[in-house]
Amino acid sequence: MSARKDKAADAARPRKRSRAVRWQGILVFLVLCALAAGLWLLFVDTYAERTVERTGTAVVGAKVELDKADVSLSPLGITLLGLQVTNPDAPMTNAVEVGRIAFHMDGPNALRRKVIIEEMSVENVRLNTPRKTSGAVSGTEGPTPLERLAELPSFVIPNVQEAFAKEKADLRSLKLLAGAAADVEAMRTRWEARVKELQAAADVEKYQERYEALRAKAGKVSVGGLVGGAKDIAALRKEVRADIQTVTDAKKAFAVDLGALRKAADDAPAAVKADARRIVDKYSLTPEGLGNISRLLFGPKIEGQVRSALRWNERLSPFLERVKEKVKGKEVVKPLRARGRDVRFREDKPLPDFLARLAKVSISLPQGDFAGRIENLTSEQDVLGRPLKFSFSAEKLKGLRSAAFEGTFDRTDPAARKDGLSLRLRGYEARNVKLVESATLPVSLGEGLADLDVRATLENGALTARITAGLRSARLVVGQGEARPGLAGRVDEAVRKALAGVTGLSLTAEISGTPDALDLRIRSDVDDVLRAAVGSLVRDQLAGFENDIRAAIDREAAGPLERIGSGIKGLDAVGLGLDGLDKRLADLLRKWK
Amino acid sequence: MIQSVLKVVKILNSETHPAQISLGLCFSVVVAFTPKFSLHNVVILFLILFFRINLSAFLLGGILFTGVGALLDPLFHRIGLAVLTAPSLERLWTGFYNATMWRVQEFNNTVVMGSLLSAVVLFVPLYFLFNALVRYYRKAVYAHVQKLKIVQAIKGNDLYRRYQSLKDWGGLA
Repeated sequence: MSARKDKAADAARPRKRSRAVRWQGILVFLVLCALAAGLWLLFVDTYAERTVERTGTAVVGAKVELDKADVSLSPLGITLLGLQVTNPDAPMTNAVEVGRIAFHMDGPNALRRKVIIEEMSVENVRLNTPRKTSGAVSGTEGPTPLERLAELPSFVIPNVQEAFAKEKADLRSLKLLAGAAADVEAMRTRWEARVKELQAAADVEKYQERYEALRAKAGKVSVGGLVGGAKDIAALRKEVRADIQTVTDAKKAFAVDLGALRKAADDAPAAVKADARRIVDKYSLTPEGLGNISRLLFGPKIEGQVRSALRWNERLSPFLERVKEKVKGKEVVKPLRARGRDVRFREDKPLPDFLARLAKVSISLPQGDFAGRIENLTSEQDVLGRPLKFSFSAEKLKGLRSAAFEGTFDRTDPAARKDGLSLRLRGYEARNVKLVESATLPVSLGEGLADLDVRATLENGALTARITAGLRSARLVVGQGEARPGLAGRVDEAVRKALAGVTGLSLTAEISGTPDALDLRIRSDVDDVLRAAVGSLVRDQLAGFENDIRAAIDREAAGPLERIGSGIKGLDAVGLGLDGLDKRLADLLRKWK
Repeated sequence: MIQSVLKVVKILNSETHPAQISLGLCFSVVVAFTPKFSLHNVVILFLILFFRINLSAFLLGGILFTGVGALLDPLFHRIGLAVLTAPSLERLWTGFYNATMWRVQEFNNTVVMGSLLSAVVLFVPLYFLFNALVRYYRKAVYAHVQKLKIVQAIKGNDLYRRYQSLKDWGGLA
């Protein structure tokens, strides 16, 4: 009874309120957490979509757009729908359009901010699709590489004035003569001053006066006078001999200067001839140049493709090899979106921040569907220790019997980058492929059946590639460009006829060097056809072209040569002055004997 | 702006214990200096709600100090980089790096580390400083402030009267 009373009294007493904690705060905290989770679930898809678009745009340098992103929590994964990546060089075209990308991520690793994907599915990839609106972002203006390619010189022969105007600044002969003409004036002024200086220092009349005075002193009858006078006369002779030596040295130096000028004037015709030959070799279809007509025909196309591949390789580099810096021996990386830098430490089980072990890709091209796989897709191959590999293939496509494309991007050792590529096309029905975009002689491949093999290696920036191609049932179309008068027109016509008769060819291209200095060697049986067709014409035109160029250089060299000639005449007078001084000093000594 | 000023004055004039106000301001410094979506900020939110810390001071401090934190980011990066690359701490950081919880916390980011460390180091001195300032205000300044014409004017303002009517919106404190 009493216990029940106490209980009732306890209940009646007001509960003591804690001054330090508020228990209802836990409830508020839980509500806020639930609210945050709800908002996250509500907006995570939009957030993922914006993140892909923003990050992609920053990396590619052109708009990256996504129709929809779907993030699932169980199992943890993302599905991206309608991804469009604008080609930065052609803003009205998507370089890549992907219908669907889906993958599941490893949950525990995701908490460690590592996206580890065992298998990714990339479906309905299409290349070079048109865009409705421009995908350009500011700061990507300027000519595209293909536009720049069109600026490459064609293989047609320019006229003399054009060739001379282009080459004038680099002509060795003109540089040599201009230098010598500038030197001759300075040299003349310098030597005239030197002769005056020498004449003043070695005054023959004064020497004679001093000699006569000493003789008069020595003639006086005294022992001391005789001895002292002989000594003084000997000293005077020594002084004159020293002057003669100085004048002799000056004459030698003068002879060297004058010789250099004369040599420049004498060498001018040979230098002019050499320059004319160099221009002829560069611009005209010499017999040697004919052997390399394949380079002129196919070179720009091949070079364009190679440069495009190298550009994409460079563009892909940030995805293949993450930029890392070292601070006090620790690896430091810039997070894609957060501020500051992430410092890396040794991991028990090292894994890259992003890794897709296998991506299965299906590409839809107008010709048909390609299937392929990409292994070890990561930007940290050095952490994974395995290179990225890819392979794609297709058969019985529209206009192509079979195609196989495989390669490796090996950045496992960042100091020894090595990328390899192999492409094999069989039965490619080529139609209307522009080969030479020249105003006077545009050449295109009307039709033909091609087999193509490409093997390329890019090791530490140095490219080595070999392309072999065989073309059957071919028809080369040589367009009727602007007609040129004279010999150039006749050569154009001969080339046109010869190429029109070509029905098959084989081609081998060897490419080496760095992206800045590519060395392209192309050999094809078209060379023989053209050599036979235009060889005699070329030989005829060669002489005329060379003579005209030489005459143009001669005209330009005439002014400097004239200045050198008159300068040499002026210097001859200087030489005579030196000779006269030398002679008078020598005569003086002879007279004093 | 007027509301913010009034809020400060209101908090300072309230019966709230100075320690509650100071703690609210100190926690707001941590949240303002460090990246918002961090694990430690969830813990701070829990502490703020669970303990009797002045919520208004916390929210107001958060607004005031966020700008300061953004300006100090380059300094935080340098502090964080120095701490994370200190050879003597390498074993500790390596241990953290291999633990999932610390990776979620992003301790290895230079700005996160620098800002969190700065905020934690400043926490205690700031607590005493804010405490002293609140006490000094209540003792020496409060009476003078009440007599200021501008305060009188504000008090007579419509906005202030409306604010007074909504004064309980300040939170749980």
